[in-house]
Amino acid sequence: MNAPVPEAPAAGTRRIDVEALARVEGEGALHVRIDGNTLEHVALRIYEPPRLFEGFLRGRHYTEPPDITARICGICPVAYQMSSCHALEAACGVTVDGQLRELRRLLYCGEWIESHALHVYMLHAPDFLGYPSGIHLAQDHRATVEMGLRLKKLGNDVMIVLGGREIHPVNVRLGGFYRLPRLAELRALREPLLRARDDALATVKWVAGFEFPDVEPDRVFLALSHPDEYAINEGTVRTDRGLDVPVSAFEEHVREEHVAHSTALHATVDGEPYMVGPLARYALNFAQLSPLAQEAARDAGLGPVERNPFKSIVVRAVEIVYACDEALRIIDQYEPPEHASVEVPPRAGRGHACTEAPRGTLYHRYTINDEGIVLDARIVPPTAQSQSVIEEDVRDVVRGHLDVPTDQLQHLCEQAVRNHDPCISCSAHFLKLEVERR
Amino acid sequence: MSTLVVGVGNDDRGDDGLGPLAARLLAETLAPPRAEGRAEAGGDHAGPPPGVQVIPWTGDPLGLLDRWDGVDRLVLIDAVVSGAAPGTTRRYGPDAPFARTAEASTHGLGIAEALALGRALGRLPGRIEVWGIEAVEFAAGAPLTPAVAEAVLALVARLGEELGEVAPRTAQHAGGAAG
Repeated sequence: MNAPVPEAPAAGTRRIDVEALARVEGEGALHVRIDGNTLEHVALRIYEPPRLFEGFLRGRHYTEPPDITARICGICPVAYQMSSCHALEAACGVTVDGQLRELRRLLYCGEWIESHALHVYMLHAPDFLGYPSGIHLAQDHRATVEMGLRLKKLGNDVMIVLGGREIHPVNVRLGGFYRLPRLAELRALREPLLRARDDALATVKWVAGFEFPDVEPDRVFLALSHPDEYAINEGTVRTDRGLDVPVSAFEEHVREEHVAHSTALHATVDGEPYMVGPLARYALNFAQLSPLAQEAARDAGLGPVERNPFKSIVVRAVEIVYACDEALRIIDQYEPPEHASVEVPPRAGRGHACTEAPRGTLYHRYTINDEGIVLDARIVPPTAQSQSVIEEDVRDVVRGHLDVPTDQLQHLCEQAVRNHDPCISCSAHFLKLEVERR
Repeated sequence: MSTLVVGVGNDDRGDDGLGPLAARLLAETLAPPRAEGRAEAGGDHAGPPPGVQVIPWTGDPLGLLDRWDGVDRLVLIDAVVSGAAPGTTRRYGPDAPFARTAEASTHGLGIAEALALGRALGRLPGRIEVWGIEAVEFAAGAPLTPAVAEAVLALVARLGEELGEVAPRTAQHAGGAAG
């Protein structure tokens, strides 16, 4: 941090509530308790609709989860649709490949661009530039913010062409799509994507110039990994500690346990807390990034592994470059398949899938009977998996700034949480922070 | 003169769903009886009067900036929390002191932020009104509070009447009913 002038906090107990009422009242809250000069307790309380949705899904027809789960998140509906499609297709023994697979990947690229641009420009960058919000940033840096919004819109446009609309795409179904995009619609994305890729490269340069606190916590990284591509919609579950297993073994290694302060579960992989998301993906899959994205990363001063959570903003920008590059590749090689979808007849079974939501690995598992009725559903969203690590990051920040005034400390804590881009509705909604000093 | 009506909220979160619900009801109110008299190009099926677009919006409010680009009049319907009785309906101007409390949130921004950002970037429609209905229940899967549901119906009736009346005529004598 740009060290704020320490000012000893007043003696006695202080407790501050940051009311963060927004669209829906703060379900996410961070509670920090400091006793004198000792950090006593950090608890990130997050609310998790996916648990509720697991209940909704039981008894439903197997064709429904892609649309139902897409409603969990207004920011990453595609991730939910894709994880549920793949898991249900796996249960039915069907693989969707060829151009349909490519089109799904293209849809996912749109979501990455949209979600990453929102986070980088409107939520994360203001932290580094000393603005309280993206709106304040826009007042002083209009052209820069317009560039971010242009990127975000391009991501939306890709989602509209593939998904039918930008929010809760309606065109996705088991086996593929209801309607294939017209060739002309895809080609029309080409020019805007080229421009977006330039914008993304400029974004990498811009954020690489920020000042970053010098921290390198040793966290376990978990992400999908695929030998031939930067894993988005398919791969094995890998960690940087040597785990590399098929998605069907996810639950053998990832355990979730209840903790008192949160409706969310704390996850561990082989007994250790871990994190998902851009830093994990990047560290495990640098070699699969496109040459241009790799070059942008190197020019930005990133090594092949980056452990500083504050630098996740740079990695997100690099991933925008990649997503633009990959979208262009898909469009350029596209040849319309014969059908918009393949048949996915139901059969009794269980299917698992992970895909890489913008903020990390999203796991779905379904059990269906031979009539295609969902008997059981399990969803493990990304933010819940990273929760322990987010708390650990906050602990590190507080320990390093015990003598800082509470309002500054609050801001530092929020930044530490924001580094992880926690999901709006699958977990921390609008963060409410309490710092209690004794 | 083009008018965009947007009902903002999350259908799955109790009273927060009032915006999208109001938009859907309003679209229905405006659409069916007016269909036959107007078979213009592109108007292949029943829709609101020309120049009026009504959409529910359940996603990221910042995306609305692109939707309202080029629109003359913007009507937003949203849930508000001000401490008033549930269902209390108020009309605000774009400069109402909405608490922009989500602006430094961890993820996502709200309508107040979208308006503020639009202003900062010089991207706001000339006329903006925000209809706020006091909401109380935000639990996942909760139904609308009865008083809120009534307020939605009342607002839909009011806007339906106004937009159904005003929109077709403004084509001839622009400047229509203000206030």
